[in-house]
Amino acid sequence: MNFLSRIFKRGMTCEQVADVLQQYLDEELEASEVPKVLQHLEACRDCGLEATMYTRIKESLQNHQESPSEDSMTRIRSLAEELATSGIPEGAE
Amino acid sequence: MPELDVLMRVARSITGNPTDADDLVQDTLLRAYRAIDKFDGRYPRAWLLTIMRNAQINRVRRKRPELMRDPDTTLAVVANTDSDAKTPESAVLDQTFDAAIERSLAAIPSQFREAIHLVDIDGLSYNEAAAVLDVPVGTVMSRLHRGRKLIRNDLTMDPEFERASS
Repeated sequence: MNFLSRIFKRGMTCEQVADVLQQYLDEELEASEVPKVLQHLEACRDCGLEATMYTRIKESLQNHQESPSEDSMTRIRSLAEELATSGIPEGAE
Repeated sequence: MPELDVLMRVARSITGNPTDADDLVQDTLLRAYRAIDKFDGRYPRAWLLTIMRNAQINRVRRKRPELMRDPDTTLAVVANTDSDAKTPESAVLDQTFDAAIERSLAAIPSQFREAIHLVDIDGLSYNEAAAVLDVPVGTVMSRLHRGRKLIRNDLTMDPEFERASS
């Protein structure tokens, strides 16, 4: 890559990546920006480690998810079906 | 109806217990049924979550009127209940990465914790979390960023972190 292309085709800076890193990890970043972030994370060790750290935090947090009980889900599904087919059940507020 | 799973998880987050969560989802569905003519057909999950948020505010207002003085308190009530004193058992459990995260999550300000709970644990998008919290999307992003940064900083000071992450 020559001098000019290094200047004009330069990727994102660490600061720019830091600004959008959370959106990138949450898959909320605009699609056009994703390859630029990815390119930087692959090339920059510090930002790559930062992304790995936040990814591990996210994964760990996802383990906190509590599934509703089967009884609860059955009751709510029954209500949803009843609303869809015959309206508000008698006795429901 | 896959949205029911999401509604149940979010209801559990904002009520803090399974019984109230069941009641809140039931209330949400009944309100949605009555308001279906006002639904424009777009973003059904966000619509349902907005209804849920309003239903929860009414429920809290009925039960504890004094909590409504500060709007942020509504969803913070639950989140503030999880800072237990350490026991020998919990000290052992703390020696894992997940436990360190859990401890950090419990220690950060409730506004940050709520945003993290809705997005990272309940799996909502920024827009959906904004609907539940009744704040702009930018506020959700800011709270997430700051909350995660606090957790991250906590971890790097945690002596167990190196071992857990290696």
